[in-house]
Amino acid sequence: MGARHVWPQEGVSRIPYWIYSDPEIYAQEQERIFCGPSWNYVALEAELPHSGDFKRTFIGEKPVVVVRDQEGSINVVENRCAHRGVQFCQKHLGSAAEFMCPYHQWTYDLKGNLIGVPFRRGVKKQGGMPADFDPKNHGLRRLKVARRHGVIFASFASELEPLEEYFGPSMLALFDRVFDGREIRVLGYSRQLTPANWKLMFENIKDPYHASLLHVFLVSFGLFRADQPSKVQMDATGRHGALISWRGDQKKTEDNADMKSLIDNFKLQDATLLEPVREFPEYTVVMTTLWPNLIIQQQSNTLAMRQLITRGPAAFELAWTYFGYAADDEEMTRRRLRQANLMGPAGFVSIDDSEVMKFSQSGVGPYPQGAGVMEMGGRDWKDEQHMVTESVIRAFYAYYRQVMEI
Amino acid sequence: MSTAERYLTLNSGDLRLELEELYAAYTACLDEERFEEWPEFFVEQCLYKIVPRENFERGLPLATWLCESKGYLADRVTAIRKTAVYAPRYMRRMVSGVRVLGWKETVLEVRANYVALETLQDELTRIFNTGQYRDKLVVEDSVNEVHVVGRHQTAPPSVTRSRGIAATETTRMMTKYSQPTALARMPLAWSPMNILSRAMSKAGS
Repeated sequence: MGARHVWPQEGVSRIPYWIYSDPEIYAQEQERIFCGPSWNYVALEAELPHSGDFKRTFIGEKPVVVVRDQEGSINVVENRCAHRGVQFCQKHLGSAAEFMCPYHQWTYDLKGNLIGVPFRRGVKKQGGMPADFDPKNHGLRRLKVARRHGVIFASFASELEPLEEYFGPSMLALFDRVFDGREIRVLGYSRQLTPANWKLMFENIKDPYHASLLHVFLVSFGLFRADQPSKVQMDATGRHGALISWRGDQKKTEDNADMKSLIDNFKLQDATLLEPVREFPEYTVVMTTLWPNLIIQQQSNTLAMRQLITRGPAAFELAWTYFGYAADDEEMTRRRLRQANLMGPAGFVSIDDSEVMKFSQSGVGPYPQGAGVMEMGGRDWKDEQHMVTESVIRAFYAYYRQVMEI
Repeated sequence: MSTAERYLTLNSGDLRLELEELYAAYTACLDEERFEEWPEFFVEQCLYKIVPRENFERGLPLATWLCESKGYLADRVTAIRKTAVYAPRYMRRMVSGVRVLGWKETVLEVRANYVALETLQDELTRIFNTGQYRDKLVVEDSVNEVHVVGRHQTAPPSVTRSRGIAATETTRMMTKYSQPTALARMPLAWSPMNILSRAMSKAGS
């Protein structure tokens, strides 16, 4: 990035604002992060139960298709015809025996091999592809695929560590806590478009400091609050992180006096939302951020994958896949669906985040030379047994700077 | 003749007027931000669901918003008033194409289209959301009004004031947004186009 942009000398306790709006930085992020040696979340296996089932999704801004082939293997291919680059698959989910580009009807099997080129040998001995045209050289580009307990990841890089190593032991344990091998059942989708840089979304879920202040709803009902037992965890590189908390009471104490937003004796007329059951060991909330595009949400009984899709420097889409387990009884499914009201584009809690991310973008965008102050809980990064810290954001940027070489 | 019977024997023109009056009152209540009055459009044991179209079409149960009682509707209002953080804006809702599909006893099954427009500061008015009301309206004998019993919409809510949009297929058709260049890459529509004229695709291979 050269002379144009220099990271502030304070290091990761300062976040320069040009990283949120500069098109060059965005282009570099696509290349180094999303197309680099990273495992990107793309789908749950439960979305593709049968041979031929496919899902259209994105890695960064690049369209890809995840498909289960006739042998039951999962393939991830670029959603871009090898002929002229047409994004051939336009359906979110579906089932196909093969993929055909609508433009010139080049056809691919479910592994991405080119199996059909109309007029390849010409028509009435005229035209056609050159004699040495070999379909083997013109298949869809295939990505590397990793699966663990029903979750599918893909990578544009050909060389990278196995998924388990990539997560590291602490994140792997948190991942396995939700994905323990039980069969997953998809409950539905939400899609949200937010006019803010994608990193602001990641920061938000790595920032327990804001949760006790911005989210009056969470705070008032003790769903996530600074005076509750909590901790933050990271992997050895700092790229992944988790906010972990135990649910507390709904009351005002000396410790939460700073939380102006806490509304004492706030009562719901219909309290069905707040009747979670203890389902996972130990913690009641674990929000995990896995580099570079996944947030795993476990807030009480509501479970969701939040997949980050970039839409230019100043917009991102968040694709939420809510799920439960195939073995859930009706009562548990109802509970998950009720608690889904906390999250999502209209959720009691998530509304605040989308709004604030937009406010952030409209503040940092016009001031690229400014910088954010990230000193809550220190200037370095390490695991902590509390949530009054921005440690996880600093860790994220420590790794980000290495990858981006800035 | 009871009120209910009177409603159900109304000729279609009169019934249409009644329904248009109801929807006009409903949208005016929300447009004018008289949210506290909003639950009064529903009966106690109501069901209010806002369902993204993709979930609706696949039979997936997740709603963008779910209220299973009138009390919950009131909670939603309290949350908007007291807990949610959002930028100031004006909303305006248009309802058209009201159709009565039929009725069973005193419950009318009604469909209508809606468009919700949103005007934020520093931005042009834009389409916030569009979708379909799939309402069950009950005719109550005791009150000379039609109450909304169950409401199923096919897309995100107009009252939630979520800035980020649940991009259902319909909302993806938005072309005007605060970041038009970034959004130019968005798919504008979708159609099933995977396996067509297979014979042709095999020609010459």
